[in-house]
Amino acid sequence: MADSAKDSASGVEIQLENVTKHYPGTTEPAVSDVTLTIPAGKIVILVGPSGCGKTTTMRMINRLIEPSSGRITIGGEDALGLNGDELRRKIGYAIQQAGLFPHFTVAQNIAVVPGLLGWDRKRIDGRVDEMMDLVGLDPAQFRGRYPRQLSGGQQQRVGVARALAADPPVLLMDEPFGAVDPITRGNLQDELLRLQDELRKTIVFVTHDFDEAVKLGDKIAVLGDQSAILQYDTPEAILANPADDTVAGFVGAGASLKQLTLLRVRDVDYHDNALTAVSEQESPAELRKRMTDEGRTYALVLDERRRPQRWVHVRDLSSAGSLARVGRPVGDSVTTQSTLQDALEAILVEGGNAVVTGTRGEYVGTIDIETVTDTIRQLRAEREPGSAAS
Amino acid sequence: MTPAITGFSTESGSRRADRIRLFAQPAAVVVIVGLVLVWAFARDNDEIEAQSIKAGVLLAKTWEHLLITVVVAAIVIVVAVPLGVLVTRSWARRVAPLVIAVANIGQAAPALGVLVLYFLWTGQDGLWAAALPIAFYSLLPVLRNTITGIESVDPAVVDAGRGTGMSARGVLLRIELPLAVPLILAGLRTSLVLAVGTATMAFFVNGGGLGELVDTGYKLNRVPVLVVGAVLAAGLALLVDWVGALLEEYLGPKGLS
Amino acid sequence: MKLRGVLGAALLMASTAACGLEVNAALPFEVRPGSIRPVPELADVDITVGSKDFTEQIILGYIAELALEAAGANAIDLTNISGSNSSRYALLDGQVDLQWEYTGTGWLSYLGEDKPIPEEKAQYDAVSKADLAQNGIVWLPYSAVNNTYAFATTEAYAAEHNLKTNSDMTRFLAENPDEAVFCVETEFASRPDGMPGVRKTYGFSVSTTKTFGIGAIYSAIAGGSCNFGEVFTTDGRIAGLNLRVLEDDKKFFPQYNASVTLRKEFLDRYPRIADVMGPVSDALDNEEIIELNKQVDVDGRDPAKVARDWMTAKGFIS
Repeated sequence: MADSAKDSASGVEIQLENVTKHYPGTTEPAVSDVTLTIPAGKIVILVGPSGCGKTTTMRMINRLIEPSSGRITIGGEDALGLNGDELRRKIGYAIQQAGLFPHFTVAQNIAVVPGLLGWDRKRIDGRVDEMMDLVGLDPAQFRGRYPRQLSGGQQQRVGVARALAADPPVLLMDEPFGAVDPITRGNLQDELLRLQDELRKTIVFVTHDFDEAVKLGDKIAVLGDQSAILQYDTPEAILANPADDTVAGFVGAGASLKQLTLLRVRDVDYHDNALTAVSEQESPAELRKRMTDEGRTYALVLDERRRPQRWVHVRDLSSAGSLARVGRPVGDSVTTQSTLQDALEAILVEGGNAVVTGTRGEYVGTIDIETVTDTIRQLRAEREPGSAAS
Repeated sequence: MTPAITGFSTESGSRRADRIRLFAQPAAVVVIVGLVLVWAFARDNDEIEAQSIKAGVLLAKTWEHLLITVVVAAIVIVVAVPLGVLVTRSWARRVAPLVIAVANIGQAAPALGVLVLYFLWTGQDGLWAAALPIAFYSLLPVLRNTITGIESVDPAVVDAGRGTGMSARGVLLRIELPLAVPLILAGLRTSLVLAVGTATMAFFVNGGGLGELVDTGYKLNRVPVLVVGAVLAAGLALLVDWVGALLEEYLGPKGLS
Repeated sequence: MKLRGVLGAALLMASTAACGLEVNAALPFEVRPGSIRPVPELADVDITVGSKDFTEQIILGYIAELALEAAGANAIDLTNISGSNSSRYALLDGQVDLQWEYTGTGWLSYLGEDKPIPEEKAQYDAVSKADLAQNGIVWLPYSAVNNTYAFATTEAYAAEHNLKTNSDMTRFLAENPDEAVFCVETEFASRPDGMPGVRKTYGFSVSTTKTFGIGAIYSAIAGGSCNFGEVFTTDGRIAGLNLRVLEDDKKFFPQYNASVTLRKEFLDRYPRIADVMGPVSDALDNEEIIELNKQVDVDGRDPAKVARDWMTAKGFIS
């Protein structure tokens, strides 16, 4: 495998050929004759019911489990011919419980693989800070903390940082977001997508949650018993045309609603015509005048970086001193990257329009329930037999 | 909610109680032993009592007792910890019950019996003839705690260790053992207190120690000699326990409990 | 008669159980007379025999029981009483009727004297007179069994250096001071009538003293951990490990001759007991008792059977 530490962060292709795992004393193999190509720089999800062998398959890639037969190549190199420990130092590994070493600080945890690879102290320290920034943990605050002192979501971020620290071309993730609450899970999934945009690693991701697979995957391998590949295709293709009844059962009903997770806010027509005001630059009285002039009841207060802060009703302004404290705070908001499913949830939380923000968190528009339901109607129409394929 | 990383505690009772005990225990020992010694030396001892209640004799016996304890501690660590590690390796699964059974015999058998049997078998007497059987007798707590300590390391942590590219040896030395240290130290503390108590029988095979005073006092019906021997031995046991508590407190890896 | 015996035994069991004494039930075998003929005055008389808790005492206790059974009495076994003076108190209180005692023990421990009398008969006379006067205890004529302290070496070592007495040892050690390696018990090392006293009396010095439990000393001598060891003169391991006991020619150590003790009023009721026990006492000496002790402590035989076999061999019973 090429020394990826100096190359640009780009993944490599993984090939599994007729890989089988047979445990002694059992009649059926756990994984039977799996052939799969994982394209470089893509996220491939291994999804299937418990016991189908998906985790076993993944763990054969970094040889935590040794295949009974078959070939595995990573970036063109035969993985089975290498020393197992050395191989694993070049493959990122993140698991469900994070598996952080409880007696190492956050910094020491992240520094593990670079340490094993023999990087010098300064390089390691720099890399640790870089990784912590990458996953959204303030180095000054978190460097010296111990895993016990972190929340579940924070621990997972450290786990991901540790997996990425040595800049491996391949990342293996075994249900890494399974043990956190749904809101944190959503945030972590968004973070992973953002990272992948930047880093473009080859990621093999195991989950039993099909919604997660649809949200994250470039390709999804739906696995059945003994890791048999039932369908290996893009999420859109699987949702539109499940290969057999088992896959359809796994996809579940409400495929069109699931497709909401495939569409992003930027793909639809959200509004950008909310009345906005910057809190430092306008007084409540001025805003009130503007609102009455334009016949608006609601306005959005932004800060001087144009980030949405508060919703105000026109009558809140009569006795307000400053725009910074008037009305109510903005609750959940979505980005242009967010899926329509996130937008729907945010609309429900807000009880009205949800704010849409751009890449730096600045206001770009709002999205309402009509836009979402229109999109659903359109998707439904496209799925009707005889309708033109979209 | 995410489960917390394994951070087992070997302390019983509240932290504050332990803090207080860290100071009170040695203080109490010093005070009580001091009072008893003052009494023993100040009183009018007869010829037989005066033979034993002498600074030189008391120091010598205490030193012998301490020496046996230290030697036993060293033997126990050197034998029980590697043995415990070995027994938890996957290839040694089958031998595990046998090893534990043997250690159990060591502790279940009466200490005096083990001492005398060893002496009869080897013909040796003195420090090592006492220390080796006593070490065998005190082995079990450390062995058992090493095994438990290693086995109670969260498997996810071990998996993460191998998965990030640590060798099996690296995982053992950098993860499993350090995380097992608190439990091992707790076991060592128990073993040492056992050893101090058992070392009172070392005199039976010319090993010296405070048991000599106890036996002399008992056989000759001289209570002051017996009391001095017993109080010194008990005081030594409490001090050893206190040192064990210090080790537990300060030698365990940070980040746990 | 039978019922009274059973009730008496039950009461005895209850009371002795309350004191923590265990009734060991009757002798496990049938005894028929040999040279000991049945004595009409002793027919079916209950006689409780007690003893201390070490081997020699238990064997002597069984010997007494066998003799009394052969004479037609009903011997009740209360041997193996634990505790330093418990058996003596049992005798005084009446829970035990007969037990073997040692002249030196009576003189020094029970009567509280501090100077032993260095001659067997003189010691016996003194203690029997005083104990009768002060406590009403009668001491029957003593046997040659003298269980006292002594020094011992291996038979080979003694033969090599021609050591038979403590004076021989003193002379030898004067010329070979490095050989003065002694194994002693903790108490022996401290008491004035132990090591300090005997060293003063004979005038030898010691280069190395090793302290052992009394049980381990015999093996320590035999194994070579020390050249000389403090022993009890009648211990079975002397024969078992082939040790030689050095004679206390200056008679420093007290005399501890074994003799049967009873309460005067009990003996007055059954004076024939003395006639029964007399020949048995005479047949015992150190050599005999060492052999019996050895059979129990070294060969592992049951003390009752050892006693029976000896009594049969001597023709007292059949």
